[in-house]
Amino acid sequence: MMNDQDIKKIAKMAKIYIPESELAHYRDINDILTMIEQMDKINTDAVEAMSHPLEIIQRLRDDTITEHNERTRWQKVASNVEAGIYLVPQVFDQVCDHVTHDTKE
Amino acid sequence: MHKKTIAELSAGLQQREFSSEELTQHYLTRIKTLDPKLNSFITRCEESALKAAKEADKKIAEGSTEKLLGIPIAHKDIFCTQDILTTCASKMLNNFISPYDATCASKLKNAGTILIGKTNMDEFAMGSSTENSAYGVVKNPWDLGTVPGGSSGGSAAAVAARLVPAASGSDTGGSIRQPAALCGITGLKPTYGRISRYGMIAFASSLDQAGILSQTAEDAALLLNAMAGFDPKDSTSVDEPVPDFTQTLNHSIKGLRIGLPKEYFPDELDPALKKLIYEAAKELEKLGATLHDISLPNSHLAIPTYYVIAPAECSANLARFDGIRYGHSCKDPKNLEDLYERTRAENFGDEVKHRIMIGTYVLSTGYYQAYYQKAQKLRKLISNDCQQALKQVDFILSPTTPTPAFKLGSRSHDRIHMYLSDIFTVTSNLAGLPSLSIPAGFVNNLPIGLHLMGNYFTEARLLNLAHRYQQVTNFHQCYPTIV
Repeated sequence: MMNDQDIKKIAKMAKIYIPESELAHYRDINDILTMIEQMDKINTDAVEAMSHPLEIIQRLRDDTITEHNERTRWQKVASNVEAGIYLVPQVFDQVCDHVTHDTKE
Repeated sequence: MHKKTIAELSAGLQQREFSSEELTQHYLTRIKTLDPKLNSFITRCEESALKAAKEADKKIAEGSTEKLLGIPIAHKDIFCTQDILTTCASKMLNNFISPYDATCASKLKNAGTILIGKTNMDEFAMGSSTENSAYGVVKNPWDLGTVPGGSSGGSAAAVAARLVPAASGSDTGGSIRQPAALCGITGLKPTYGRISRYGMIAFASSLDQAGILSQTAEDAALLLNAMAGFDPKDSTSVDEPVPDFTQTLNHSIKGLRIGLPKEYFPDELDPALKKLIYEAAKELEKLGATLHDISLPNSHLAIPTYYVIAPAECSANLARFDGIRYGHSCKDPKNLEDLYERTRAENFGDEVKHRIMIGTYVLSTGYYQAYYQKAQKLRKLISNDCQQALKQVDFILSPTTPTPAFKLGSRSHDRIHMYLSDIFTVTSNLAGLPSLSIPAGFVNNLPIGLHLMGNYFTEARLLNLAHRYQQVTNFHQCYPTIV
């Protein structure tokens, strides 16, 4: 079962911001987990997991080029693009030490 | 005109009783007048539809006899349609003009259909009532105080109200068949892999399948002819020959064995609904089928199994929505992490966020084996039950839903009760088997559906069974007073 700390941890993993004031709203996930626990009633030690409904294997194809660069077409729907590059907010907060060392040399 | 099926409209177009332009304008006018009461459409494509209709009329005049040429249809807003908004009923995609067509949209376009609009749905196909849309709830045309079902509720309501003769849908746990039942129309979910998923925005990839909501089994067969077939762009598409599904509709069903699983007819089932389903079974028996008692012993585990696998797969599929390459972004992000977290928090609805959280939890370290792997093993057992049953019978019959349409808002705060709407439908998705729902009567003046499930790639026989039933009943010809 999930407590508020677990909810915060899972939200972080899922990359969904949940403020403290809304944590209680997600406690009902425990009702779903309780329902799901019915699965434990059956012993499945000797059962193979089924990840796909049909008995088929992944199709392979020849290692030849079939697609062509359509970057302009696909980037028409992006919110922030410049010179063919997707722009995102800054990732690193400060310059790393090893970069400073290289510059000194 | 709007009371005609696709088969009848096609004949009407060929016999020049009306033009595709007149037909398309007729439906567009109906949508403008009546859809404010239902909210079944998110986008209407008036200009492009009339242009396409004129093109279709030219081809008909030149002698083309394609069955779907000039027929208006709608697509659930989960299918990418080139240069047309595709939202998945989410704020996340409220600005997404798709740069390409989904394969099944493209196939229906090439078959000559006229796209008149994109229908409303539960956000990212998560829901059983179409109350989870960022574009407002959809109402059931039979009773505006009730739900149309979901997640293909917009398509179901639009077809039931004859705002369009047929529409596409998607079905992951019952999202075509359940709304079809609650709206009194026909809904088909083919075998997994039968229709390409390329361009169908993914919810749970091992369960999702595109399908059809129509007035009749015959119309579903016409549309399936166009939609089905191998697609190299979909790695799960199956290279199975596509028959002409209309050719065998009128075949005799004498000797077909139909199984009624005892687990699907519990004592608690609504007695009026149960009576109608038994009456439907008797009609099939009168047509020459034989009825048999069967068992699906692990069916009580289908809902828990589904509600582990579907959220798990959805948490992976929806990880792509980060506001960078497409879709809505939050304002003034402080850093990349903040961009991801607030974009997703602000633009996913409540049900979607809940399911992502459940999915993330069941896949996380320490819980993966207990939940996800366990569910995959139970999926195998449930599938085995179906295969065992289908050695004894040809088709499995049950109600589609445990109740007729419920009141708007009555289950939106009760997730478990909402999830239990899918109790008869999820097995078909877990096992990948084809199934459909057809109208089978009324309980408290609300339609209910008969559910039929067959073995892999038996859609022709399934549609034949449904069509023969519709030849001796008239429930599929009933429509709400709004029509």
